[in-house]
Amino acid sequence: MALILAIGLATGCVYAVVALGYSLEYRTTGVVNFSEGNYVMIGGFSTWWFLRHTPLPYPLAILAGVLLTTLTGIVLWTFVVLPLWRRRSPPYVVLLGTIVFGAILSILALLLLGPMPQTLPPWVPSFSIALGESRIDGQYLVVVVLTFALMALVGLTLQFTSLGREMRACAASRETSELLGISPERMGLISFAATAGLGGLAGAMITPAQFTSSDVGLTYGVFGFVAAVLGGFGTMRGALVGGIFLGLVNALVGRYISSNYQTVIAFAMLLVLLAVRPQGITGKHWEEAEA
Amino acid sequence: MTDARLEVQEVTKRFGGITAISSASLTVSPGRLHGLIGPNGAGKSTMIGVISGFIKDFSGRIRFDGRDLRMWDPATIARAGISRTFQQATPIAGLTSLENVMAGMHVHHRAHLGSVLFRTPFMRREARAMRASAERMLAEFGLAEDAEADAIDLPFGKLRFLELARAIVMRPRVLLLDEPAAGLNPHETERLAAIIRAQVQAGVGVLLVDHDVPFVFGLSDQVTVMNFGSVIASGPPDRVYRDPAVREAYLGAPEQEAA
Amino acid sequence: MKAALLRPAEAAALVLIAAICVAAPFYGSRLVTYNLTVIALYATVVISLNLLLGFAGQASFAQTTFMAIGGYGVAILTTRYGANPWLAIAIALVVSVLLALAIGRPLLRLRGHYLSMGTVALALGTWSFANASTITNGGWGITGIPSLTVGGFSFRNPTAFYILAWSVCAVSLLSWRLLGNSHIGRAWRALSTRQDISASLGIDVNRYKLVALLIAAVMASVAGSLYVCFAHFVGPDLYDISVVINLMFMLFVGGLRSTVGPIVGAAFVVLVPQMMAGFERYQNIFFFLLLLLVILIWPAGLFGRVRR
Repeated sequence: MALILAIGLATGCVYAVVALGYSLEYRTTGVVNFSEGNYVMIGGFSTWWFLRHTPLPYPLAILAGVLLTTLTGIVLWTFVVLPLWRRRSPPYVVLLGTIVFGAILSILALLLLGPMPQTLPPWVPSFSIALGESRIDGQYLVVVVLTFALMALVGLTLQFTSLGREMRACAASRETSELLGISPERMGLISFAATAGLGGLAGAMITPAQFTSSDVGLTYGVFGFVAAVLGGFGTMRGALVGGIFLGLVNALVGRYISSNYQTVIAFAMLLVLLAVRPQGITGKHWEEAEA
Repeated sequence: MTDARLEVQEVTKRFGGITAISSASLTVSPGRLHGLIGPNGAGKSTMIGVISGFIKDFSGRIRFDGRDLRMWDPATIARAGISRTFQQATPIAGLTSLENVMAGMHVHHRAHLGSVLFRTPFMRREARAMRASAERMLAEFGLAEDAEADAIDLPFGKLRFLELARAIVMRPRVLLLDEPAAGLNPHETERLAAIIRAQVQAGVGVLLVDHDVPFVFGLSDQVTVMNFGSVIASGPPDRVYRDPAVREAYLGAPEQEAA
Repeated sequence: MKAALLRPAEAAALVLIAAICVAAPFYGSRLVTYNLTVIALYATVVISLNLLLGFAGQASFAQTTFMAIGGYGVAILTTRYGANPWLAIAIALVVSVLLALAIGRPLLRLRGHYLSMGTVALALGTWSFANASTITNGGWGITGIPSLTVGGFSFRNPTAFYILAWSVCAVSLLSWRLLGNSHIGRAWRALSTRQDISASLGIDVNRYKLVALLIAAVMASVAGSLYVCFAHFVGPDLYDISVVINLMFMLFVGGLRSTVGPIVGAAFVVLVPQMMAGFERYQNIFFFLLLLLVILIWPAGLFGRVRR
């Protein structure tokens, strides 16, 4: 049971980071980036590659992985989202673009890095915690602590730095922020790069505890989205609450039913929630007015 | 025809801390034009929004046809015979001007899905009749040559007339016009006035909201003036025009009247 | 939707397609007939998207769900319960409609992103369920689906099935055009532009959205059922994310709201991989890159029209 909780919490934290990514990007640019989950995949997978195939020490390999992931986010923004955004394409076209981009990343990972799932060494060697009678991999704790730290960092940045203020202003509208002298395109670039980096870090964090492979991106993307909506789309608190909630549910489903049913149940929850309480558990709802 | 009089009774609408309309009442009678003027933010557009069902959560009553429309959704209100135009003329994308006007005839269509799929004689007759009506309407509005053009390509003035045509083709009993003259040149404004007058003569009750004071006064049987959400004067145009409260609040210097 | 008449390019394409379709059984090889059958069935699903998204503006990524109900429904009912295939198709259709009714209202109330994401999640959930469940036999799929028969005549004959598939496609296309040119089509275009304006015209927006979804569900379910009857096999990978993306691809390459677009797009996606023999590993990535390019550079596709 303790193990299930640990897994649930840790994966939940990853979902929370992904959910945060959705919210951040959505609030600054109005775009829902369904390739979000791939950042987790790239972070973990590329770190493995750097560790395996370059002489970089582990911490630098992680850094390289995160940087590569950040680069991916920048590429996505610059070459896919920005052109569509400038053209004011309908939302589903942009969404489709990000889905396709994500699928391409997934296939590239498959072609370049191979079909085998890979894992990473733990961040703190031989770190395990005793909970009751079981010993649990300490990496789970690393994930949880770091996630909370990261989210606090993001929260503080948004609240107290000028960059954060500008990003929050963008949330109002593109036109308004332009009037305020903020470049929405620059904000978009920053938010896409930042969320990519965060996602990559989350990937590097969780891989030692589980594994990574070319097709985990889609799953994280879906669960991250469900987590975001469950918790309350567009808010940090919602991302955290939704993420952990979903992580725990998934862990329980995985243990007592079957891991194959996780998406099904997640979707069922999503549907019920959207029908009954679209603003999510924390009650804040980011609604976009109809064009 | 039952009681086609539209009665707004003591309506109050608050948005958060702001009172947009405060205990306002007015009546639109069939075959009469009721003008509604006031400075920006006076609550005129809110009034139209409230009557047409787009703005909810207000206190007071909207009586029409012996019923209270307060809880009705916009589509139901439209089907009951109350049409409106919007401040920003928005044509339906992807449709021609003719098709846009035909879209306004939606309330008159009786053919259902099956009839359409099997192209029953009933459906075809109905479609032909609707099309003919729409073509006539376009001609009346001076848009006949634009019938097959994509509506969104039309210049601003024509879009306004298209918007109006779409509302009128619904054959409403009450017509709510939200600043229809905004942005029109004097010639177009005259044509607009003629069309509105014709509707009134045909027995439609019209509520006309606009900034162009001479335009409104020239058409109205009755004028209501609002300021900061409250009605400050209501009555025949001449009397309202001379009302000192109105002069002070709104008319002030006559040059300020232009849209 | 310059409605009644087709533009010359489209009319020409339609004539060409009709000519090919008529000539194929006589002059074409079995491979040609096979390909054209598959094209017809996928085109039918794309036509349903061309209605739901093209007319009513509802960006639903979940047509594969209805395809799956149609496909698995037929498979399960015939192999496990010995039902007549036609009956199975009908029952699967009813299930699809019921699902559309059940989730339609809450789903279609969602705006823009939420609808798209919700339907993506639905599509993935369907695939996941198909992979997981014992009812669907998981990743193994179901084989041994019997052929359709009418009286003593069996549709095992490829030409017969070919005609059946194209008949369904033609009926779908005709329905699409008839509806598009009617007041129903105009109501859809209105609600796709602005919901508030549509309401002011007396259009019951929710009802019309639901009707669009229902019709789309029917088309997709039937196409899904027929495909499975044709292939005598069903498996989860028939409904994975690649298929979802490919359907959109077919729609966009052909041209949104165009008449021949769905058929042309389906033809592209079915035929091009066959010309890339030896490059199977790169097929998907090639298509996805192409779709990205189409979205970015050529949003009108072959036969569509783009404003501004």
